[in-house]
Amino acid sequence: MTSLPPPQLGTLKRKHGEAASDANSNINEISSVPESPQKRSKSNLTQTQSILKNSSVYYEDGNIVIIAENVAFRAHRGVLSKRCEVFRDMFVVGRPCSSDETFEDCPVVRVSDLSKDWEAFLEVLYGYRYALFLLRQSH
Amino acid sequence: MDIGTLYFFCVNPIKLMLESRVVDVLDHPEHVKAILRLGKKYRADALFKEILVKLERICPVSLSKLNLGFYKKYGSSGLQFMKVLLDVDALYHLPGLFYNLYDENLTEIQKLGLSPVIQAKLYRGLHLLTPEYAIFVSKTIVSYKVARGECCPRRWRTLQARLCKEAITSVFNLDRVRPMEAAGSIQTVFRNCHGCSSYLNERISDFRKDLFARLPEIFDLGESWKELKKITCTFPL
Repeated sequence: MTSLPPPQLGTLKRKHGEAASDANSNINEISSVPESPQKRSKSNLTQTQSILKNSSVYYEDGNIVIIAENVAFRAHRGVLSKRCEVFRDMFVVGRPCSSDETFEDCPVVRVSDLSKDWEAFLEVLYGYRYALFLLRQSH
Repeated sequence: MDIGTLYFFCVNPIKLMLESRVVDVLDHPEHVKAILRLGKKYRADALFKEILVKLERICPVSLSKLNLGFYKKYGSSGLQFMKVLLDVDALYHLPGLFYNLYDENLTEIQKLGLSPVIQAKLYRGLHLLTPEYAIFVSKTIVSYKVARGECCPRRWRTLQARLCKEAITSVFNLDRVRPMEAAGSIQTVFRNCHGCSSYLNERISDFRKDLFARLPEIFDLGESWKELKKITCTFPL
């Protein structure tokens, strides 16, 4: 599990001593904290519910957050739009999200898929799982 | 394979040996299913295509892929991909997958939540495959005299007896014989007779090509491979 710097809007709680299940093995939990008044107008996800950060695919320099079930993946628009036509179209139109939701100052895209599916999908998209497999197209 | 990949393999042979075992995506069916589902939904076409190409080990889409014999390694593991392939309309991969399940125990199929229609297609197709080998034996081997006359009589009789026994056993489901593989296994019987060898190999080749081409129809999935390929992807596979 990769270590994450302390989040800006939430305190990080790791569940030590627990055998993590497959689906949640790369997940850190964030508890909500009070936020500044000027941000209250926006819908901030940490305020309303417990969102888990996936530590496997959570880039601090990412500029888009995908939330599947209650797990957040922070990724890059460039990577997503290059590999997925749906995201490419979404970003071209200029509205990455259906609402004004943000998570750690990043726009949020909520998806209805399983978080473990997104974890596997993004890991392959970013090329650090099955990298060799992706190279070997001829098989 | 591009020059970069070739270079990578040349300079990292040990890494390749170690990692090629670790990174086989087919050993992680849950990941394959996830990538297929999301790849289709979010149009990650290149990734979707790569996974489908990789799945051709389990779901051969050509005779050459079937000849690689990966069914021995993966066995009934193809069952778990059946639902997701249906969900993402990858019908092109189903006939090969169904065929590879011919001699497998299908008791697990009830747990997959497949529609009764697709289960019926599978069982019907497997049932239709059963006499294929017997028909091949009867057409080709039993009638060899017409084509070969009195050439290699002793060897033909021995072969005839063996194949008839296999075919009958298979028809009665005592020991299922995979028709295309069983036919392929007798290719080297006539090593010393060029005429008989050519005759037999030609018949075997025709039988395998014909049966493989008919798989979509046998499993009632479509009229031809070409048609299924069109349905499966909008991009060229």
